[in-house]
Formats: sequence, C-alpha cells, structure tokens
Amino acid sequence: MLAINAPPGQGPTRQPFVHYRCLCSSPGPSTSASDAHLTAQGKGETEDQAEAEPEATMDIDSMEKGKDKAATPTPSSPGPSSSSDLVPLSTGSPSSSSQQPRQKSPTTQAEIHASGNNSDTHGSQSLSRLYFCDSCDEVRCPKCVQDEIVCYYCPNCLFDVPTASVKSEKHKCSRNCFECPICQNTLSVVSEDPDTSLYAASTPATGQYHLSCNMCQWNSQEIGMTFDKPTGLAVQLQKAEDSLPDVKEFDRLKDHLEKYFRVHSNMKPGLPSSFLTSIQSGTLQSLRYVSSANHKAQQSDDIAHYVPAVQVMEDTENLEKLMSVVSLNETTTMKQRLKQLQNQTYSTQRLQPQRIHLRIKKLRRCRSCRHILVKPEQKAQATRFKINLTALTQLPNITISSVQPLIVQTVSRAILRFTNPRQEEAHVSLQYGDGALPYHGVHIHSHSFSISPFNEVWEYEVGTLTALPGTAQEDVYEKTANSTCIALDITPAVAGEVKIPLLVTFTFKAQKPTSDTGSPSLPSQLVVSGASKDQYPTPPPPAPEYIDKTVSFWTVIGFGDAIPTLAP
Amino acid sequence: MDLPIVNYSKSEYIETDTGNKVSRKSVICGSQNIILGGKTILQTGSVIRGDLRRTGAGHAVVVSVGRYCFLSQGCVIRPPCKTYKGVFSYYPMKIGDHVTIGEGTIVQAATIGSFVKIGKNCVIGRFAIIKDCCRIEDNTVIPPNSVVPSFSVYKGSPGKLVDELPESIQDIYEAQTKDRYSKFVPSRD
Ligand SMILES: [Zn+2]
Ligand SMILES: [Zn+2]
Ligand SMILES: [Zn+2]
Ligand SMILES: [Zn+2]
Repeated sequence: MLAINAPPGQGPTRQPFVHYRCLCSSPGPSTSASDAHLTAQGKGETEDQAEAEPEATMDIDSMEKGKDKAATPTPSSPGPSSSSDLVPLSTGSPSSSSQQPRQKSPTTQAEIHASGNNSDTHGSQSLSRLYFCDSCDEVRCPKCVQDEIVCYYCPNCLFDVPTASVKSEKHKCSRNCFECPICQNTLSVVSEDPDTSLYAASTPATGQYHLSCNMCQWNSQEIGMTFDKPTGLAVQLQKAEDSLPDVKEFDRLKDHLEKYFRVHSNMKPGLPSSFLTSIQSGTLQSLRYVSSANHKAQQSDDIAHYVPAVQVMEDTENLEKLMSVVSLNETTTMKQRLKQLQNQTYSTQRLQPQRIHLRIKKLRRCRSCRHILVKPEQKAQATRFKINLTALTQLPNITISSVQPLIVQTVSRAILRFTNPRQEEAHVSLQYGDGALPYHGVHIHSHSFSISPFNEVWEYEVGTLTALPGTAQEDVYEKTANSTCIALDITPAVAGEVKIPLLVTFTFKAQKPTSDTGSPSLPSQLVVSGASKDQYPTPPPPAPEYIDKTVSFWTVIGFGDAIPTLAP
Repeated sequence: MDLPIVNYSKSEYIETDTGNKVSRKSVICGSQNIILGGKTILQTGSVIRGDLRRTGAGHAVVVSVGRYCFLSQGCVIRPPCKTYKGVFSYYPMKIGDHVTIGEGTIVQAATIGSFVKIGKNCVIGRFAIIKDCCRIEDNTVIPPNSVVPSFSVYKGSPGKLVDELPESIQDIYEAQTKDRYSKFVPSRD
C-alpha cells in the first residue's frame, strides 16, 4: 500500500509521488511566499523519511516556477496542438483512445477541468494532509480549512491547561516543566546533594533543589538559581520573570496597543498570540493576522504616541563585551537568544531556563460551509477523533504500485493502485490532463473501473490478495480486497521528471442526509479511529437511504525521472 | 511504490502460534520475561534484554511488545535503569502496537505508544516516554526522561519538535505495518 522504505540501489533521483490538488490552489493571484513556505512545510510526512526530504526541497523549487505561472493564468488549451506529438504506442491495445469524451455535467465539471489541468505540483499535497468536506463534496487542504483550538496542554507533563488561565500564564506550563537555555532539552528537578536523593530520601529535605539538563549537563546553580521546594517552581520563576524591566515594558506597550486593537478591528486581542502555540500553519496565520491589523493601524494614523517607562540601554555595554570576547562559547547563539523572552542576553552566564510552551489540539472546519471536518477528543492525551473526515478515510487512495524505468520516447508500464477506504463499492473513472507541459504520451488501459468496499474482516486474513469470487471480471490489471490496479503506458517526451495530471472522478454511495434529525453528521461518517476499533461499533441505523455522489478532483502523479534515449 | 515482498529463509525465522516471526540470529535474553503481542517481526541481529529485570525475586514481565511491531536489524531494546533510594534496579518497558524501530536504534524508554515510527540509529534515552502517533527521524537522540507528545515529529540531538503529523497518521501507520507483515513471507525452498 504505502512504501516504508524506498527500494535501494539505482533509482531515479526524484522519488515517485501521488499528489491531490485542492481547488483553492488553482491559478489565482493569491500565491505568496508564505503560502509556498506553508506547503513546503506541511508535506512530506507520511510516506517515508527517505521520500519526505528530497520532495520538500524539490517542491520549493517548483514553487518558484509555480508563482510565475500562477501570476499569469495558464492558457487552458495547449493540449490539442501538443497532442499531435503523441508517440504511437507499440502495444496493440484495442481501445487506444487516450482521451475520454469530456464530462457531461456543465459548469462545475468544466471548472474543475480547467482548474488543475497541468503538471504543476504547486499547491498539491499527499492525500494524508487533505480533508474531504462531505457537505461541499470537495477536497479541502490545510489552507482552506479553519482551525479552532480545542484545548491547551503541556507537551512535557501532558496536563490540560484550562483556557481561562492560558493567557495569564503566558502560554507556558505553570507546573515544573522547563527548557534548558543552552540546548532546549527538558530540565529535571534534582536535589543539590546527589547523596540526598540517592541514599537518604527519608531524611527531611533540608537541601536545596535546582534544575539540571540531562543532555548538555547545564545546571541552574551556574546562574545561582536554586529552590527550597521541588514543587511550584514555575510560580517562583514567573514572579522573577514578571519583575524584569523588559517584561514590564512589554506589558505596558501591549496595554497601550490593545486598546487600539479593540477599537479598530473586530478581532479579539487574545487571538493572534494564542495561535502561536501551533507550530507551522498557525504561526504563519498569526503573523498574517498581526500584520493585517498593523496595516489597519497605520492607515488610520491616530495611534497615540507611546512613551516608554523604562529605558533598557544595553547596546554600548553589549558592544564592549562582544569586542572583548575571547571564546565564542561565552556568547549565546541566535537560537538561544531568541528563546529568552525577557532579555536577549549575549552572555551565556545570564541565560534563564524557560517554562515550556503549551501546545494545542485543533478542530478543523471547512472554510466554505463551516462543517466540522476533524474533531479530536477533548482530553489532551486522547488520540481519537469524534469526527474524522480526513481525505484518507473518504477518497480513493492512489499509490504507484510499480513503474518500469522511464526512457525518452520508449513505452514504459506503470501500475497504479486505487484503494477504497469506504464500506461501499465505489467507482472511478480517469482522464489524462491534456494541459500538461511537457506533454508525455500516456495510455490508460482502464478508464473506468470499480473498487470493492473496505471490509475489516480481510484485515485478519493474511494473504487474501485474490479477486473475490462472483465479481464480474473487469478490464483491469488486478483486483484485490479493496483495491484495484490499473495499467498505464507512459512514453516520456523529454528527459527529466515525469509528472502526469490525472482527473479522477469518484462515484460512491453515501447516506442520504436525513432531515428529521438535527445532526448534520451521519453515523457512517463518524469514523472513530483508535484502540476501540477492535470492538464492534454501535449497531448500524435502520435502513439508511443511499444516494450516489460524484466527486471530481485532480491529481498529479510523479513517476520519477526519465533518462534520455539510449544510443543504438 | 508498493512494498516489495520480502522473502526470508525458513531456517532462519521461527514463527510463533500468534504469528510473531523471530530471527534465530536475534539475541533474546530472558525470553521468559518478554511478551510479543503477535505478528511482530524481530529481524536479524535485533537484541531484547529481557534478562535485565527488577532487582528481587519473582517472575515479572520486563519487555512487552505489541502487535504488528517491527524490530529492524541491529536494534537494541534494553529496559531502563536507575538508582533509587540507594538501590540500583531495572524497570519494565512497554511498547504498543504498530511500532517500527529502525536499524541500529537503541531504546531504553519507559513506554512507547502505538503507531510510532522510530528511524535508524536513534537513541531513545532512559525512561523516555513516547506517546501514540509519533515519528522520530533518523539519527535522533531523545534524552533521558523526556516526553514526546502525540502527533509529533522529533529530530536532532537533543530531539526537538520539527513537525506535526496529520490526523490520518494512525490509519497510515496501521496500513503500513499490516502490509509489511503480509509481505514478509518465507522463500519457497
Ligand atoms: Zn464544506
Ligand atoms: Zn485548499
Ligand atoms: Zn508541563
Ligand atoms: Zn541542556
């Protein structure tokens, strides 16, 4: 199904991939550098590590190209002219029409058709990062879902932090969780005298406690930081933090500006900073939030002049110190400095341990219809979901089963596997995008086929990789449990990476939305993933009504590099 | 790409009643203290130190490994140890289901949850706790007593959060480990 390790030895420098395109990434003016960054970061996690990295870096390159392309809308029909370049296929297959008749349904299909008909990987993602809104019947990517915070928790002690106290504790753990100022590892609380903990724990704790790093051996005694009790350290540390002149000044400045934010924008002042706890998309979003707010601020131009209460004059002092540095080890690194919220000191002697930043659990909504796509359980430590409409559980999962080495102007066979995650049989039809540049010759052997439903019983029968008896034999390469393989003949036009756009039309049975019950989400779509999977879920509701749903989406399939024609 | 079918020599691997496949070239010490959940593969040269058990008499589980786990070549599973109140002792280790441990990785964790993928040449320090649905990249050092929360990707030395895993990761890892098990078959000879 999914590769664990890339096959060793000789192989294309670029790894094969299957990306799904979200409609929101279709050519438009909204592409920005931060979007590119987002996509590059948010991908390459599921397949395998070997694949992840070259892909991620590669994508940044293609993104640069993508930006240019996106600025000028791609002409929709370079296809017909270039299709004459199609190399006659050597395999004598009966139905050799490589282009299916156009879809019948009018506007939406045409829109979809125009949206992603190119081999550009910009904005496309692996299926694992995408969602499927069953109300809009569309693929949703991290950019077109909206995140909401379900809960805050400390990534070290894993305790939930009530939302009410998050702000006053500055989004940091208020228990005994600290980060090493040197290496950012988690610090342990240890007793000053190792003998006390080792041999005489029963004796009254007269000794003092300090923080110690298991990784770099940093010790809070180095900066004269010791504690009388091994508990409530964060409270003690926060008191010291709050009295620092920089912190006071920051709070004052914040108060000054917050008044202004409240008046001039409808956003809550607490929102941007709370978004900082998420590590990737959230951070960027929050930056965008802030910058847009600042923008507004500049426009109206009536912000009161701010007079600082404290002047922190360190520049000359710092300069003198840095001029006389003998060993670089005495100077802090940029990373260490940036981690110090109160005082970005250059002296390693003055670095303070930091309380650990909280993390969040997120609920995801469709931006168009506000439907919930993913809803995790409230508890910080739970990994189950109350609602799980990740694309992987809703749409056919396409993987490259195998591909022959690609040589320019030579026919190579590739096998694509379509896996059905649904409990009902589904149908797939394929269409090769004629807008691809360069236009490689592609012959799809089965344009239209069905995939058997997913059935958990198979999971326990190892080796049932044969077609089910009784199923009508279709013209497909292979049909197994809940997947169908089809063959594809590729004739690369030029050397280099071969990327092929494929329009997938997926037809499946879905439960008809019932109007009598208030809940919009249907039981069959509440996929509860987790340990309880083994138990049989609640009995199915009586006679659900099914309707056929059809979803079309573009994929870009990378088959690796084609090598130039071998000399005869 | 589909996972290739891996053929192993029938003489090298022992298959247990519950479908565990254990290489005769692995080092299993104190096997009476080790539990394998079923359909778990122990490759050539992997080491499980079930003999390092808590000081004191009596039979106890030292290492328990769940279902569909994969212990790659040369990885070492060693129960964590510490001196507490002047007494040196080993403590038990628990590994969940669908866990992959990469080649040459040394694990001294207290617990590893389910749906976890640990890369090659990592060191998982004493009493580390890795929660469900995590990935540890190759060559990462997780220092002693650290906690890796769910849906994290950790990398580096010391290992730090570098990415978050998507919500679908559990399904992905489950499919991967099951697929890998079904393709680990004896060669016909
Ligand atoms: Zn929607
Ligand atoms: Zn999108
Ligand atoms: Zn904490
Ligand atoms: Zn440290």
